Amino acid sequence: MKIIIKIIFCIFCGATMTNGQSLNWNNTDTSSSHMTYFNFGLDYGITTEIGYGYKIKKNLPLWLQVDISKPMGGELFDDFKSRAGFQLKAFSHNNFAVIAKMSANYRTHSSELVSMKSWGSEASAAVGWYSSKWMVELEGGFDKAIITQLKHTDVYRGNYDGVQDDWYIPAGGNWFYGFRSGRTFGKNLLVTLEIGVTDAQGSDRNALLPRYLTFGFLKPL
Amino acid sequence: MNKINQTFMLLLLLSIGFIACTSSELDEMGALVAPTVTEDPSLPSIKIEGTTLHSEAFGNPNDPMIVAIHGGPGADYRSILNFKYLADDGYYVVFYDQRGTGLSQRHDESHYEESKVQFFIDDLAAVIAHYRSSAEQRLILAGHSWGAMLATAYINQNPDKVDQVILAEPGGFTWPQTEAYIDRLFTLKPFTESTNDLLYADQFITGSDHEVLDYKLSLLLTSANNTGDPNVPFFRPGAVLSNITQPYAAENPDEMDFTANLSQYNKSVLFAYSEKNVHYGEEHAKLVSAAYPNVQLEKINGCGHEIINFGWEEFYPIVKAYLN
Repeated sequence: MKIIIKIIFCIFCGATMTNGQSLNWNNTDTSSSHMTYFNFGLDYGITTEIGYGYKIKKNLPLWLQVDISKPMGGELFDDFKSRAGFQLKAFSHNNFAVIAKMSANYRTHSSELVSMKSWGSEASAAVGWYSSKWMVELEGGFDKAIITQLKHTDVYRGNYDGVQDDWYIPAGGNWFYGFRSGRTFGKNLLVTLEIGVTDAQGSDRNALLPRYLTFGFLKPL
Repeated sequence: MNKINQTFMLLLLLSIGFIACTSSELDEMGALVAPTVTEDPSLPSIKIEGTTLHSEAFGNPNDPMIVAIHGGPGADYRSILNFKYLADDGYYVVFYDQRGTGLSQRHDESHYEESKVQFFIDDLAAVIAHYRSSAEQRLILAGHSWGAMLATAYINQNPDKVDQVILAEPGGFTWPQTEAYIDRLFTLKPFTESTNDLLYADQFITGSDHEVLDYKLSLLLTSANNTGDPNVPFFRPGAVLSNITQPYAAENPDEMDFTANLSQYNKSVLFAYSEKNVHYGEEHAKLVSAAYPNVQLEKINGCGHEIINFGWEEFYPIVKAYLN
């Protein structure tokens, strides 16, 4: 029954809900209770992410994670995204495993027209093959912007003074589907490469770069 | 493990709630973008060819008629409103937002299935017919950017019907010309704040409604503005229209060739390009304008692509002299 509930949860995540840091569940999982990670690549801009993971119990396949990412640009703190969540190994058989990830996120963005603040959630499921050196994963999920606050500048109001500054619920979301592979070097330094596509909820075709490509580095502490 | 299972179930239910919940806030009329003529009947409009266009005219209806044609596709006539001052010089100046953009009525993508280029030309013909007071009334087309391309497309099909034409930085009269200009215009610099502004907002708002799509495009247009001007004024862009036209043009380049009959148009054409739009320039202006036999080529100093809005002080005397 417990297994079934976990599988339903994973299927649901895979079917309904941007992508969290991956582990090699065949070595990171057992080596330490702490980890840090660093990702860099294309993800709604050229983005850098740092994060920390904590394993509550040695034999419970669940990691708690927090991370923060920021795109390139001249202004330091106008755009960023932070997340807090978990990932767990819901099912495994030999070197194969089903991984579920879920997190809450807060992100902010400012331009000369508007400042946006958004609370949201992400959930995904990954199916992967994990050995002591190599891992490959297929992942699908959904990144939901649950509530977004819009505050417009005088520049935007110069075009439309009737715009309403407010919280908007729901604000939308993006599906994502990706492939990730990784190799462990030396003492548990996991290096990953991930590629994928995003697909906006509804018939929104305005995502300029509906792709992501990131390099990741993960090190247990 | 029971607690963990309960947590799973709670998260599952919460997730279902997040996915299932709907709200009309984002697509609430007037919340993010200006209402269109179908939502605000007080806006000036005309009905043509199965749609309602936001449109107005200035001057004496019996004076020579200037039809001002905005850019895009997917922009509106707010940035070319300076043409209305020609009404004081004895012209009847007509403005309209093209089908599906500005404050004109919105249509879904299926509305454009039968025609993705010709309807622009047909709508222009219908607007001319709507406002023209007599067959003898002189007709002048004044187009900016895509509007100048559309004016040329109309002349290409009706070389005898247009008395004078003012063209400000048309992208091209053939698809290869236009494509080359677009490629120069939209080269992303990945590590800059402006590129960041273009890409990052996509994760905050998505939607299917015209209000949301038009709002996102309005943010995009301002962030992508790199044609040498400050922020360009607009009423409201038309995202669905904008989204269907460029891919269609790229796949059907023959329909974007407006040059077959231009050699028959022997009247003088005023063709302007700007000093500050480095992506356009004299070389491209000469290349594009060469399709007309008789061209008055003018460089407008002190502005970028938005010649009518930001370069009017220098452009106006040139226009006035040309019209006289």
